[in-house]
Amino acid sequence: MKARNIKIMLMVVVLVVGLVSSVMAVEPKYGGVLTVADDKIQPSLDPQHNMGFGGFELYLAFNTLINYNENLEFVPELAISWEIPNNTTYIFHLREGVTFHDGTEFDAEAVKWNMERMLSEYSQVSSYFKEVNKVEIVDKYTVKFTLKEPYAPFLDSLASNGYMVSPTAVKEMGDEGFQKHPVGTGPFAFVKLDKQNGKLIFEKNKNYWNEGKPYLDKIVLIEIPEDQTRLFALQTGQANFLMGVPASSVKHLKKSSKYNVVSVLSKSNTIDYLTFNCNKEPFNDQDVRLAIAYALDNQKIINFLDQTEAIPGPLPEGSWGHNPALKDVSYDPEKAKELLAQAGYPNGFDVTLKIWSNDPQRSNLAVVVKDMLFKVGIKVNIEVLEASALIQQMTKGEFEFVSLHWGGGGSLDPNGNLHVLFNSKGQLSWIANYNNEEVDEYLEAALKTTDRAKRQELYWNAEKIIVQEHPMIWFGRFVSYLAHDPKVHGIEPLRPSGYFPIYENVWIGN
Amino acid sequence: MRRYVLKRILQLIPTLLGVTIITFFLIRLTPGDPATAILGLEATPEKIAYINKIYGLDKPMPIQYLIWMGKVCHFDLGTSIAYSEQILGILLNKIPVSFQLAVVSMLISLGISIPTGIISAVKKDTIFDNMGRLFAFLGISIPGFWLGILLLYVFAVKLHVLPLFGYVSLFDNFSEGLKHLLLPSITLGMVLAATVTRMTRSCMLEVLYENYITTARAKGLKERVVIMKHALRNAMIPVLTVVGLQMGYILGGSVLIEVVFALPGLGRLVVDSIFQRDYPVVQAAVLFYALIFVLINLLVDLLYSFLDPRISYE
Repeated sequence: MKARNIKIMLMVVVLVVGLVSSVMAVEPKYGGVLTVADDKIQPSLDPQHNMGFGGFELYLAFNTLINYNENLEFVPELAISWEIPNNTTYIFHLREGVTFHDGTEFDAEAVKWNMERMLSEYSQVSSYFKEVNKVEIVDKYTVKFTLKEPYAPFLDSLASNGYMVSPTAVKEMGDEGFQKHPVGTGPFAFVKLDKQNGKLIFEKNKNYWNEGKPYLDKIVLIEIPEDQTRLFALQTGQANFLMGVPASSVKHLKKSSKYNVVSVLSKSNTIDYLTFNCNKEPFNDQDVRLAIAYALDNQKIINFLDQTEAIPGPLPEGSWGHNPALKDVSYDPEKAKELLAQAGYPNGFDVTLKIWSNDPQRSNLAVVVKDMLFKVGIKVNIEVLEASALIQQMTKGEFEFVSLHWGGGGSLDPNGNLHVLFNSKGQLSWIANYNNEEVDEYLEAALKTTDRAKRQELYWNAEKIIVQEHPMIWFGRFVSYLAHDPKVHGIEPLRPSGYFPIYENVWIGN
Repeated sequence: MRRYVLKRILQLIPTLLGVTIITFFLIRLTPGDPATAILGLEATPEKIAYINKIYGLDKPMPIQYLIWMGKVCHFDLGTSIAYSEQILGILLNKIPVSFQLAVVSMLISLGISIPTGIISAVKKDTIFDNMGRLFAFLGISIPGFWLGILLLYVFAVKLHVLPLFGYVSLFDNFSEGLKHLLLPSITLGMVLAATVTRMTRSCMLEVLYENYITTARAKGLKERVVIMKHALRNAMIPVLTVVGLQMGYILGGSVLIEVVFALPGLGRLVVDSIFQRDYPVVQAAVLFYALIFVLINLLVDLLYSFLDPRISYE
């Protein structure tokens, strides 16, 4: 054969072998143990009663009726299809043949029981379902929910907070027992909780309804409170997955090819902000708030603080309500001074900025803000408080200017980002004490229709007004990271909420 | 003597009462409360009211105190708000950890500090003295958690000879337990040793210039006997006081060490509980601390009379 032909043949062979092996390399492998090091194991493993916002260990054993995919569309999980005949009626057709880890059958009765538990006093997720009026068992695998009033975020509530627990398990163990021994339908079944030694073990659910998943044999969570020791655990191989990489170590880990560092929160619904108390002088004056927006150079803040990224306003890119065309004011200290003079503060004023103590990023932020505001004549006094003291003061309205974050209120619906923060009748209106009737109207209207495009328009209208009136300054978002051994695959994409991987997709290779 | 001990034990009661009353009211006067601590930013008035109701926090403070006191007299320390578990059980799990850490650390500390202090005093102003004083100076200046992390890095990460975190009881498996306790005890022991070394040194120096020491030497006693039998016993009294206080502190748990080495001890429990405003746990833990402190003080007082027969409690 001619040399040239042989060369071509060889190239083709190499190409084919390369393609085949690369496809093979991407094939997930079964088996292996994911050892996660985190700073704390949640005190309660009951997703319906979890004392504040939980770690991933709350969700490993459970599923919801529906879930979000990467594009934030609703996809089937424990329900295979659903109808919304009118805007207060939702009918779900359940997946057949699903059992809880203790063998109990999952059916319409279990769903009804779960909804009743979620609405009970014991539950900490009742506010997400408060519009539910009736739950009816149509037949063994069909459930009908009737709402008191149209409430568009109902589907989001089911996807983000409607975890189905085993009624048999709760009846046998009691609520408190269940907090230490969760039983659900999820990809991983609870094995053991060793509270004393900080170890939590889950194993593969062999009867998981999603065939072929999960890949891992076991997930073990070890509790190591000290940042540095946790990092050592990753470095010595005692853990192959690390939650909460200490901020100071991120750069160092990123440079090392021995670990993969993944940004958590980067695509999430979480925002950080500086909030005003719109009930207190001088922040009841919109121009004063606008002046501060002009006085702060957001770009500079982001560049100066490590691990901070830009966000446009209350609806970040992680939310389907995000408006890519939204613009806030840019840095203009002269304009700021002008506005302050117009508002009656030609020589500025004194203000106290409160932050909570456990957060070095916030301390740095406070110092930068103090410096920038000083240049327009505003003297900032930074007050560092413990989290519970700060929250107590805020509920009593004893604050002027605070640095906080918001994780979407446990929901991926823009309702969680806007309604809860800015509606004058909203739950947590002690955060900004903001009051605008037009905004209220848009937000209420957005609850009444399930048409996403229409809701988006309403939210955009509300957001525009909110951003113009600046009850808060959206300077950016603090990002945090997790790190893992490169042998661990399937970590990305993270769950739509941003915080952690979809564990049933994680596998360990070479 | 027996009557003295009995009297001291009876004095426990008003002391503990005073301590519990002060703790009870102090923690409730601190800003923040269990409900907001647990719920954080998601606290709504209904959720807060619910938590207050199930934990009896909506009752007036003196009533809450009496209810709690009544339970304590039946050895019921109540339920933790954050962990929904019986507090007595939680304490019984954590106390042995802090105890074992404390005892091993104290042994290491005394093993280093007393000989160093004696040598430093006897060989005053020589190189031994200077090294001893440098050691004490470093021990007081170096932060415990920094030393702990450094030791972990060297021995657990680089050399892989000792475990990185966790606890095994010495009674369950002595060698494994010791391996887990070694680095934390050395860290804590160093910190403790610094103070005791200085104390020993200065007390010995005082005693060594007393007349009776000169007399003892004049009598022709061997130097070793003079130092170890005559000087040391008299020098030890203030040292015993310091060691007693240290023991009282560390038996209650050393939170920084426990955090760095991930030991499930009492220190971590109490600090976490304070941040979470877990009132019943803080009250129970402080009660325990007070009890330990009073008992250690009693023990130290009794040991005084053993060291110095002139001190008696008849």
